[in-house]
Amino acid sequence: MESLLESFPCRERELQQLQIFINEGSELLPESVFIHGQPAVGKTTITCKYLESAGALIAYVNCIECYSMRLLLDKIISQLLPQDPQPNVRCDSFMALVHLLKLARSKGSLNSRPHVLVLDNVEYLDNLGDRCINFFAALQELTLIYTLTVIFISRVIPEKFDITPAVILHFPQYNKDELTKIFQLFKPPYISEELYSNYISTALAVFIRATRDLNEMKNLILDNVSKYMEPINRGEATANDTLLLWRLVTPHLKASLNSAYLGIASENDTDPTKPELQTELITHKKLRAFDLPYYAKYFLIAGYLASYNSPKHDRRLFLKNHGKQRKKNRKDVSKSQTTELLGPKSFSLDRLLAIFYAIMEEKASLTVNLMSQIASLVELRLLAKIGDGVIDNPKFKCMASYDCVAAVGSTLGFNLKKYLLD
Amino acid sequence: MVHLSETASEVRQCLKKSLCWPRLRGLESERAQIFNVLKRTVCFGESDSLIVVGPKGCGKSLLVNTCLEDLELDEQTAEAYSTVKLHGLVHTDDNLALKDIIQQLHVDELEGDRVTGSFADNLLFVLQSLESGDRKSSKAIIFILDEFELFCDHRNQTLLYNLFDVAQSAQAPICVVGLTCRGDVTELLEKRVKSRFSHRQISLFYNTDLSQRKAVVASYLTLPYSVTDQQERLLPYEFVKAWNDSAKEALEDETVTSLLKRLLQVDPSEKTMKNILFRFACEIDADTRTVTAKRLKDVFKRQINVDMKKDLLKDLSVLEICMVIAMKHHCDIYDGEPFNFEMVLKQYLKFASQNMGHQVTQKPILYKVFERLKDLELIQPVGGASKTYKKEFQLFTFNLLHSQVNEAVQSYVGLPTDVSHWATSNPTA
Repeated sequence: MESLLESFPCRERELQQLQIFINEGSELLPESVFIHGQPAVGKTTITCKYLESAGALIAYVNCIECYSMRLLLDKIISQLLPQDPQPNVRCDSFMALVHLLKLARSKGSLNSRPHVLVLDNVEYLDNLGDRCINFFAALQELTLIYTLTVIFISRVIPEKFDITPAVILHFPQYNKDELTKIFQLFKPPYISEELYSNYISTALAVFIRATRDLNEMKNLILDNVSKYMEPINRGEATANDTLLLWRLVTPHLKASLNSAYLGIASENDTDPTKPELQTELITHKKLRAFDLPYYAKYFLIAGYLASYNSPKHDRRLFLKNHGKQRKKNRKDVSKSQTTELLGPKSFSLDRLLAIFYAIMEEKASLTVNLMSQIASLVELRLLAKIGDGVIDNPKFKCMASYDCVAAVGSTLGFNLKKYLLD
Repeated sequence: MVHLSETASEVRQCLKKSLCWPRLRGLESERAQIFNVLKRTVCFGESDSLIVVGPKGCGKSLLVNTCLEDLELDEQTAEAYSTVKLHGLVHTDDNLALKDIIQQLHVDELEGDRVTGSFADNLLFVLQSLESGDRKSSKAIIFILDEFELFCDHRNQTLLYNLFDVAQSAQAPICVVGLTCRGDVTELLEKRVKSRFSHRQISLFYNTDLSQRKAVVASYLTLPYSVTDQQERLLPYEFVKAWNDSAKEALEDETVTSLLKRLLQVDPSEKTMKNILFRFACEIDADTRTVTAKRLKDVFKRQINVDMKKDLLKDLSVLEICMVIAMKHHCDIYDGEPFNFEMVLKQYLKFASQNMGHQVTQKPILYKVFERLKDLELIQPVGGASKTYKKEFQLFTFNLLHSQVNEAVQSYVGLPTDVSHWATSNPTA
């Protein structure tokens, strides 16, 4: 227990709680335990390490891996009953699991010590069926093995599930002081202790507003230790000059803050003083060198224009003699600003074709080849088909971002901006 | 005084045992009714069916199990019947249920062996064996179907139909006992199944009487004077007496009474109360010599006054709290309409541009923060995630109450003042 407390600082309360409910001497375990808390607060690690030290037999299953019932149950049974391997026995239903456990109980193999089934990421259990979690919550009652308990671990709060666990434990997020303590564990060997703690307090002050996730913090902070040491190694500053060091490292830290959560290390050669490129969401289909067929490119552009321009402006944009331009009134402007937040709008196939012919200089006859290009754009998820009722006039929506479509336009010498009203 | 820790573990075991294997209290008339039905089946071969309806944790299973125990002890019925226990969560389809029926009826022949064969084979086998019996000579079978409503979801309700059909006709005597928490359970039955059911329903309710609840708690907290099990060491008589007296005293305490009352109002199920007492039992350590009112209060308060969502909000980072506040403001302005990422972003940027302390305005990071909130299920996609939306435009609903956000903001340690000001400001003004 002491060694556990040492390797997991700031988790005394949680360890103590676990010890109260599950310990070597306890013959009767609680029916189920639900542990919840944010990611990276030590839920899984501490639970498993503690149970190991308490001499319990653990069956650990991460529910995200189990996409079928068979995988889940096989894993559970092979870990809970390791001593009698029954390779020819299929465990593919809850009934088989209960049957095997009862059989093991009658042989007396489950009574000796606590047996704990740990289900991690239990919110993914829903994929296997709504009632799955209810079954595991009632496992003790169904098998009548009181040395068996189920621990659910999840980042979602227990009231989202339709169960009443016997014990609910909450692992709180670390606060700033606790993080400082924890980071002492990760000290690299080449930096002195005092310097390191100075650095940690500097770095935490910058990062703590954006994230409290320990894993994120670890990436961000440990990447920049060398930056902090740089001025000292070059002889520009001494180790005692904390203020100067702070001033020198802060721009680096702020730069790497921009990559928080994104899982990419900030490149070493970027100069933090240089204006950052406005990064697009990486979820976007950002393809610079875009290799689509000739007509498909025009369809994509036409789709984009149809999604982001209102149909009433089509006349003005695409016809040569569009008549007099009326004055825009103010009300109209404010309305378009709020609708812009709703994203791309859907359009009909007719409108897409009309815009397509308007922006194409040459004539292309409407053949099955052209139509199949639209289908392949849908297939590529650049366009999305809305609804599936109407066959003769389907509706679409453009899913590509401005950057992507503008890049496509530039390969055709087409200026997308000219055709956009806002 | 030498064996302090041993005494403590002894006490723990005793209390836990009484919680794990409770005795039935009250419900005498229901108990007699069920017992009579079962007994008639066993003794006179009168097939019957009944359903016990009651909310979760009100003692349905305990009631039926007690009746089965009574039946076992009764001299007239001894050995003249066998029991088949099925559970809706375990037997997720009729084939599994049939296999288990065969298994449970032929325990001796099939030890460790497994029933194979198709659904049709199994059904035919069960039906034929039931048909071959008659009222006089054959052994009665009692079917207990726990979580009865789940059996109604099975295809064509084949199992239920056949069981009720056998119960109605002159075949082997069987008694079908269903347990469910759904009051409308007969409406779930198909017409042909419903017409074969005897419509005998026994309803149970929560017992919300405070003095009776107190007696229940007291019985769980008192230690037995003599342990019947020979192997166990007896606790010293003085200790047990002191313990039981202190338990009685602690329950008379005013705050404990009001807490018990509050628990009854919030959640009258006995299961919740037993969970709390289980916790109490677990926390007994070597220093605990008596039941004190303070300990009881502690353990009850921890269960009753918790708002897990508020705790969750306190675990968020400042940036995440900012996003939550932006969502709250959006809901204020648009009266709870769903929102997408772009709308929340607009609200947040409005705030961040006025307060220079917020360096983070990059869209990708803010989107990740938004996704984290989605993973924590603080916001919920409207109509499930769909492919026809771009991620930023997917609509979400807010799963928190405004008071929860406000309370969390107030109790958040180290929140910058500009953020808390922003949280309490009125966005519509």
